[in-house]
Order: sequence, then C-alpha cells, then structure tokens
Amino acid sequence: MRTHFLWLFALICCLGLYAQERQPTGSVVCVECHVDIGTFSRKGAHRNAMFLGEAGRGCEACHGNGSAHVESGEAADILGGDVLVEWPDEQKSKACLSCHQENIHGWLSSPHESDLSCWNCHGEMLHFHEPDEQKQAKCAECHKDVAMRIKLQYRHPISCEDCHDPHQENERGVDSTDRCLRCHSEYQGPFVYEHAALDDGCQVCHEPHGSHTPRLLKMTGNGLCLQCHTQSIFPSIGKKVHSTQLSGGAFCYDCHTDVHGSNTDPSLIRRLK
Amino acid sequence: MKKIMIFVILLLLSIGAFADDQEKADNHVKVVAWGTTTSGDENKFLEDFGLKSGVGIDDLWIEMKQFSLTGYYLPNHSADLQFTLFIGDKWRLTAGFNQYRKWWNTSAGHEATPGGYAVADWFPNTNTIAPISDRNELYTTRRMGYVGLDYLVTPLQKVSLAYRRLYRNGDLSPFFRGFTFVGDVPFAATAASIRNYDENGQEAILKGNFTFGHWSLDLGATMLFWDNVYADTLGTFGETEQIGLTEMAADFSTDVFNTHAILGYTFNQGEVFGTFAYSKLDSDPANLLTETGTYYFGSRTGSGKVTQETTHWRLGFTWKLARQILLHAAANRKDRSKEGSYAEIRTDNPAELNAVSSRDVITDQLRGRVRFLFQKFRLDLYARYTSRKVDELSTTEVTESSFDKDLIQDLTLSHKELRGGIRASLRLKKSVRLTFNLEAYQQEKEADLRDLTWGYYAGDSDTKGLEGSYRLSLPSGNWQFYVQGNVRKWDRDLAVPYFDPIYDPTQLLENTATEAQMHQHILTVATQIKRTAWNIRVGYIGEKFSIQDPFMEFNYQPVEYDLKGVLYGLGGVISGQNWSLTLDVNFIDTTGSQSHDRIRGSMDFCKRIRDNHTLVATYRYFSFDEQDFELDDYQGHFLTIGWRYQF
Repeated sequence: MRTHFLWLFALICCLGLYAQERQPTGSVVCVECHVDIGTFSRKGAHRNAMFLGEAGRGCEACHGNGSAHVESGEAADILGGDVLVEWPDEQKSKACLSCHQENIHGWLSSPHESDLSCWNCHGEMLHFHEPDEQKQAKCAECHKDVAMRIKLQYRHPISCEDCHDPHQENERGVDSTDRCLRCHSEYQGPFVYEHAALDDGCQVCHEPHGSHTPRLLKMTGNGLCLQCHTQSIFPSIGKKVHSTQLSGGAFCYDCHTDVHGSNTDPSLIRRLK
Repeated sequence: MKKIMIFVILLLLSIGAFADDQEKADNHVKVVAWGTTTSGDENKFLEDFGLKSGVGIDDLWIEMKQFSLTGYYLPNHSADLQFTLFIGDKWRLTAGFNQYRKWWNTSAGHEATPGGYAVADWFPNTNTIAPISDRNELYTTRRMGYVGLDYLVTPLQKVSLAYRRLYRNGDLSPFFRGFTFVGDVPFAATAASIRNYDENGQEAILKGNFTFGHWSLDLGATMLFWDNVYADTLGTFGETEQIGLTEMAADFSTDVFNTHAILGYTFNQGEVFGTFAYSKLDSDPANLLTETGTYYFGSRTGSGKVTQETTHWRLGFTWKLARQILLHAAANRKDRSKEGSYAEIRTDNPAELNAVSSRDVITDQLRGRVRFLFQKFRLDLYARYTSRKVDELSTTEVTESSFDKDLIQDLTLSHKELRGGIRASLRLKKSVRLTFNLEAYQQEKEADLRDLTWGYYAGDSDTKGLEGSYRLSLPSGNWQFYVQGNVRKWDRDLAVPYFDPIYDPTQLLENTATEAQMHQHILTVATQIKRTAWNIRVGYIGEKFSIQDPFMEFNYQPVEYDLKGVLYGLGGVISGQNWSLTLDVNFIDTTGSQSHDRIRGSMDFCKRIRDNHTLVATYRYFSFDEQDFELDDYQGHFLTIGWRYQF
C-alpha cells in the first residue's frame, strides 16, 4: 500500500511539473489558425480581454489552456465550443463570472439566475458583437407579453436595457420612478402642489411598454382620472360642479393641464384667472 | 447637413482604405434614403411614427484598436452616436450624442384619442392649431451630448467622470384650451393651443465601482442644473372668428443633487447588500403673463421656492439554503420631505396670491421571495408589504379686488398594500414548457381629511387586484406552437367626500365602485419549410373600465368604455444564396366605444452585390382607422433604399 501511495505521489508531482511548464499561449496564437474568430472578435464583447488583457484571460479563459492543443492540433486537447455548450447552466455562468466579477454582486438575487445562464442571452455575442435590436429580440423570446405591448399603436421608443438591468434584482438599485426621471427630468419637480398619484409611481397612469392610448396612458379618456376622483354626485368633482367643463366631450386634462404638479395652482390648472 | 454626411462617408472610406488588415473587422456603414406618402391625417401619421423623407446613416460601426465610433444618425427623427478612445489599458475617453424628435399632431383636440366627440360639433369650429399659428408641423426634440473619462484602476475597479448637456426644445399641443365669447361673456372652451418648451440642463456625474474580494462598493454622485421655460399660446375666439391670442409664460430652474452608495458582500451561498441614497432638489418657480388680443387679464409676476429632500435606505440578503432552495428578503425606507412657497402679484388687475405647502411622505417596504428549483420545475413565491404615511398641509390665499378667498388642504393619508404572487415554470418534456405568473394584491387607503376646502381628494379606498400571465411552448418536429397571454383586473371601492357646497368632515362619505379589466391572448404557430421560415399569430384583446351607477348626462365624454378586438399577423423569411426577403403583416381590429383598427405591414429585402457591398430595401405600410373620429385616419407608405458598405 505504501509503495502504491509513493507511486501515486510521484505521478501527481510529475503531472504537476508537466502542467507547470504549460503556460497559456495567449489569444494571439489562437487567432493565427482561427482567423474568422480572431477577426470578428475585435469588435465583440471580448475584444479587450482577447487583445489587451493578460495571457490566460482571452480565449483560454473559457476554452482552457491551449498549449497542448497548439502542439498537437487535436480538438480533443482543448475545451471546444461543442463541449462548453453541454455544460449545465450553473457551470456556464460560473465560468463567465470568474472574470465578470462586477456582475456577481446582485446576480444571485436576480430572477434570471435560476432560469438562465449567461449564455442564454450572450451566447451569440461571445465572439461577435450584437446589434441592439437583437438584444431586444432576446428579451422578447421570454417576455412575450411585453413584446406584444410594444407592438400596440403607441409604444415607448427605447430598448429594454434603458430601464432594466437583467443582472440584478431591481430593488438593489434605483426604484421605477427614478428610471423614468432619467429622461423625463422635467416631471421630477419639486412642485408647490403635487399630484398625490405620483406617490405610487408613474405606472399608476402610464403603461410604459405600449398602450392603445396616446402618451402611453393606461386608459382612454376620463376613466383614468375618475379611478380616484369619481364621486357619487358626478358630474361634481371635488367642490366644483363640472357640468359645463365636461360637456362637449372635454377631458379632465384639457383644463388640469399640469397633471404632474403645479407651482401656481392647487387644482393643477394653468390658471388664467 | 449634407456636407457633414459627405464628409463622414469620405472619412469612413479613407479609414477603410488605410486600415491595417490586422485592425480590420466587420466595420461598416449603411446609408439610407427614405420617403413617405400619406393620405388622410398626415400629422397624426407623423405623431405616431415620426417618419419624414430624408437621407441618413442607419448603421455605423467603426472599431479599431485605439478607438470606436458606432451608432446612427437619422435627421428629423433620432440619432445615437458613441465614440470611445482607448488610451493604454487604463484610460478610456467617451463622447456621445443622442437625439430623439417627437412629432405632434397639429390637429389637436380630442381626435388625438380614439373616441369622444368632435370639437367641431361644439365650439370653436376648429380643433387645428392653424388659427393661432402659421405652423403646420409641431415637434419637440430632446438632445443629449456627453463626454466622459473612465479610469480602470484594475479590471474590477473603475472611476468615471462625465459631463452631460441636455436639451428639450420645440412646440407641442399638449392640451386644448382657448377662450370664446358667447355674447360678451368670456367662457373657457376646448380649442387647440400650443406649448413652447425651451429647456436645458447640465449634469456632472461621478461614479466609482470597486470590488475587493467578496466585497463590492458602488458610489455615485450627480449634480443636475435644469432650466425650464415654457409658454402657452391660446386662441381667443368670438362667436364666428378668432379675435386674439393669449400667451402665458412660466419659468423655473431646478438644482438636483443625488448621491448613492451600494455595499455588497458575496459568499458562496448568497449575498448581503445595503444601499443608501440621498437627494436634494431646489426649485424656484416664476410666472409671468403677457397678453395680446381681446381677453386681457393684466400682467403678473411670481416667485417662489420649493425644496425637497429624500433619503432612501435598503437592506437585503439572498441565501441559497440548498441547491434547490433560495431565500431572498429586503427592507427599505424612503423618507421624502417637501416644503414650497409661491407668491404672485398681478399689477393691472390688482390681486395677490400667496401659497405655502408642505408634504412629508414616509414609505416602508418589506419583501420576501422563496424559490424552489427542481430539474423540471421552478417555483417562486413572493410577497411585498408596503406602508406609506402622508402628511400634507397646503394653504392658498388669494386677495383680489372683487373677492378674497383662503383655500386649505390639510390631510393625513395612510396607505397599506399587500401584494403576493407565484411564478412557476414547468418543463414537461424537452422543450415543452409551461410558464405562468399570478399576482394578487390588496390596497387600503385611509384618509383623514382634516380640512379640505378645495376638494379634489378622494377619501378611503379599498382595491383588490389580480394580474396574471401564462406561456406554453410546444415544439413538434418542424413546428412550434406558443400560446401566451395576460390578464389584469381590479375592483375599487371609494369613499368619496360629499363636497357640496363645502366639505363637512362630519358628513358621511358616499361610496362608489369602479372596475377595470385588461387582457390579451395570442397563439403563435411557427414552422420552417426548406429555406423559408414562417409564423402565424392569432390573438384576442380586451379592455374595460366601468363606474357603478354613474350619473351620466347626454353629450358627456363617456367615462366608461369597453374595447374588444382581435389581432392576427403573418411573418416569414425567404432566403437565397445572397439575398433574403422578410415579410410581416399585423392587423388589430377592435370594436367598442374607444376602438381603432390598425394594419401594419413590412417587407425587407437584402441582397449582397459584391463582397463588401449589400443593397437593402424596405417597404412599410400603415393604416389607422378610428371608429369615433375619422379625421384622425390615415394610410401611410414608407420606402427605404440603402447601401451597406463593409470595410
């Protein structure tokens, strides 16, 4: 038994010494043969890692040490794409996160963590760059209800990533209203008189992905306002009888124009008198 | 503009000619020319799609070892250009330009929504902006330019500094208000008006992302200085014609300071994080009025000060108890406090307005999620409890020659919401998958309306809602079937103050119920036949809103609506050796009081002429047909021809 153990120990030492000699080749050597990958990777997501980064952080970060493969030219001596693609989702993500540590934080809390690996969304852009519209199509593959809303008559002309970070739970960062205010700064106030509905966020009135109604409102016409401001003595609203104002097909926001907030009028009207 | 484009194209060709082969990648530029023809309401078409004839760069990608320039530039519509310069391994200089132009329908009024009555049936006899403006096109444009510098301390430690310049300028028709004189009596009426915006902002951003082993730290601070000037032009109408214009202008500037820190610790089984954010906003509203025309109020000047401070805390953790079970919980508190004042003096028609307001909102939230993950089954159970307390006091004092009035709103509001849901995903066989989400919620609002002399505030309310969605993927050989849809529904009971003539807190509140439903379901069948791929979509959509026993009167804008309809579509791709043709047609056909029918079709053709040259052509067809207001209807044709050059 002791002899066997010594033999095994010696073998492991030899393997260790042999392995130590095997230095990563670096991506520059890889692309001498894999010309197509090399060319297009210059504009892919791994551009910097492959051509500016340290040895071992380029192709070999995913495919493993390439020195044996360079010597033999055998496909079996390296982790080819056909092998990597068969890895379980968790293992694939783990490989990506070994470099992309900035995405480790928050990823575990993300609803995507259990359902998707990095490859599900980024697989096609490991070597090549991906146009924005393809990114949006990726999200739409699963989020078909949102994809359907985007096809309605009125839709938000932005991409998913402008508001959503797919790598972490939303609550870790900003809340939903802050996302809207990144572009729509003019509605952030502060106003002397606020519309209390804004406490619940923009989505109380707006459907951000797409709507049947202009300005991405959730509902057409006065129903939107009357959700909260309806009264059993309608057409009185608040203290005021609105018979005149609402006749002739007028909408609430014809007069209450400053619906997000006003500095001059508690009824959110641009008051002329 | 043309000179710039020619210069850009020559620059690109030069880069292509001189670039080192080793540096060459899939660099390309796609230049397109496009045109539209429209019948019907051309401005409504513009509002919906923003498509005008023009020439532009649809796709630009230049990436060399040291720099990259990417994006697109479509005049009259939008642009997004990004430039990055790599300076060694540590530094990165970025610059960019972004533009989005929103066109607005010049025939404003109620035809902007699908439904309602034509303003022309009432008064004045127009709802276009033409009588008050010589403009036949309205648009607002958002522009943003930035320059930034990133320093990579290590690949995981980055510090960024950026400066942004923001603009929003232009005209729109956001509301529809003018004046009419019936006899000698001035009377507010709904007629088209224009609002002109002239806004600009400057923002400085400092960010740092640091990772030390298991720890991560995100720090950020922004300062935004925003100036907002807008002016409304409204028509003054006699019984038969326009007799003047009224113009109102207001301006205010807002200074915003935001800062945040997110600290995270990640370990093998999970992570813990904490967030702190603080923001302070200062605004100084001003108002001035200048008038022309018959209806003259007198000039007014105003000034004020509004300050808001918000602190936001979050604490949370995620813990993977086992490979199959994950637990996530978080708590946060947001404390917002606002104080404002505004004073206005009217000189020609002496009057004074003094307003003071304060509003404190404290929001607490707890949320938890448990996830079970098995080989073929995933289950997420989650719950969120939100509690919000609002304390508001506002007073407005108006002193005028004819009357004095004091308006007070003093209330506290307690809002509690419990929301719980389930997300499940079941893989029945390989690629056969069923996913569904179901969420239920209950909201309770209790209002203590201590003093409410101007009204407009609802009382207690109780809302129950249900939201759900499902998706079934079912592949079978060359065929794939998807069924998916979503449903939303809520019922609300409102205890509404009885405000006639003056709010009396001792009086019992009246109850009213409202109900809304929205749902859509769609079946998609996709298949591949030789070198072609096809899909067919059939679906059903519905939206409904109703008020229990409303007191409706003749000729009122309906407050209830019920929209139902079908949608169907066909898409396909046919490809040859050097060409491809993509087809897509979508129909939405709805009925009901707020309905519109819509057809959209597209055809994209792409053919590689030589190694580096590709010809692209696109045809789009749009048809919009409103049931209640036909003046909005249009049919639009859009044709694009482009050339893609790879270098």
